[in-house]
Amino acid sequence: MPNYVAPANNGSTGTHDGTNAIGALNYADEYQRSLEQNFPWVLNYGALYATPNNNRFRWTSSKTIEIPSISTTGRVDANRDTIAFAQRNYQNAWTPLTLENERKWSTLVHPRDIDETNMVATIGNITQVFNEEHKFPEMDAYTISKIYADWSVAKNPDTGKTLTPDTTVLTTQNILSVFDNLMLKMDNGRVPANGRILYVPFEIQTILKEAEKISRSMDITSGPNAIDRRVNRLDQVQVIGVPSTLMKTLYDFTTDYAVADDAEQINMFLVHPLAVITPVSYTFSRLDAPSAMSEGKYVYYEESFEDVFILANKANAIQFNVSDGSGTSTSTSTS
Amino acid sequence: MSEIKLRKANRIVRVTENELDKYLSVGYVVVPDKKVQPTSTKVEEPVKVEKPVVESQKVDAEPKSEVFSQSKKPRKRRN
Repeated sequence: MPNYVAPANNGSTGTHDGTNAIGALNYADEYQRSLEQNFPWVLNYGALYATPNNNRFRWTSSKTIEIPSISTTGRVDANRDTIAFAQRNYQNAWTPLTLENERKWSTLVHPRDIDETNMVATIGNITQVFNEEHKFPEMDAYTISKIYADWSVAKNPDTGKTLTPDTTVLTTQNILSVFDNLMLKMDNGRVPANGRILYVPFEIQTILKEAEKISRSMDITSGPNAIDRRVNRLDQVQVIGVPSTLMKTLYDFTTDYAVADDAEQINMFLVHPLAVITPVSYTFSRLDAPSAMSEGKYVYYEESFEDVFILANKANAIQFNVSDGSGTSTSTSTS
Repeated sequence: MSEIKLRKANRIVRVTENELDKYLSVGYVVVPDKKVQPTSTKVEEPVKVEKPVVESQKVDAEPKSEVFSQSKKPRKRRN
């Protein structure tokens, strides 16, 4: 910003050379209150926090939510000659889910620091940076890794078999087939077609777009009847690109978040929001004015108690493609 | 104080011995630590700067090696 000379408003007298009382104000210096930060992180998995499941189930304590379900037996052959023994043929079950992710953050701010930094170090600015650069990506890291951890130990509710992720190395040639296969698994699991979301790292999103482009151009050359069904399937989902560091299977949450040494890379995360629950039990945030206890400083403190779970009976509404942690499956087109 | 690496599901945490029991009681298990030292503490090796060869040295060195190599050449036998 260029220097701007403005009239002084402090009532000072004229300068020694007899000119009017004018003080040079460098607006770049004086009014640089907006922060020059890196681009902010956003909540990439925000749609999963808006799942209707969050208001559907009952809390049994401040940290436990119970998921009810009923199972019944199937039909058998009727017999006209006898009366069968009557018995209960349904089972009611409550699955408790206990929240464990309790996180906090706090800071002190000295009032003089606020003045001396020309209002840059205000609580508003500090918490904004904390949210955008630490809290949001940490919540995303927790969400994706917890869903993967829950899913990898869950069983297919229809077959009882352990769920395993697709591990195909993705290329422009096969990415639509892999995606189609994940969609097929959902179809067989009777997952609603509407509302499915495909989260992919930006690297995979690029491959996906290239494959889509190739397929669509082939459609034109092959004639109007040769529409690639797999491209149509891609149109049925909402594709959301996510930074690849926020699509890992394991994180170190000692302070903030960090990708763990042995984390795997998630290349595709196809999910229907009805398959997850993201309860928040408790949130607290408060700013205390300077006091004797705080030795004259503002004290900001926030804490939240939340977690992310998958609903075991809807585990088929979640599908993954993963590769080892060395990087994403970014094999590019050879054509 | 050394830290102990623990894991439960998707979470890895590093705790001190004082906090260990608290985490073990809620299902965390100790995992071997393969943590690499942070790069910031890594001592970088000094960059070797080769001294420029002075022209006079270069001139001196070359004939010597040539003379040496020529003197060591086996003579051809005359038939």
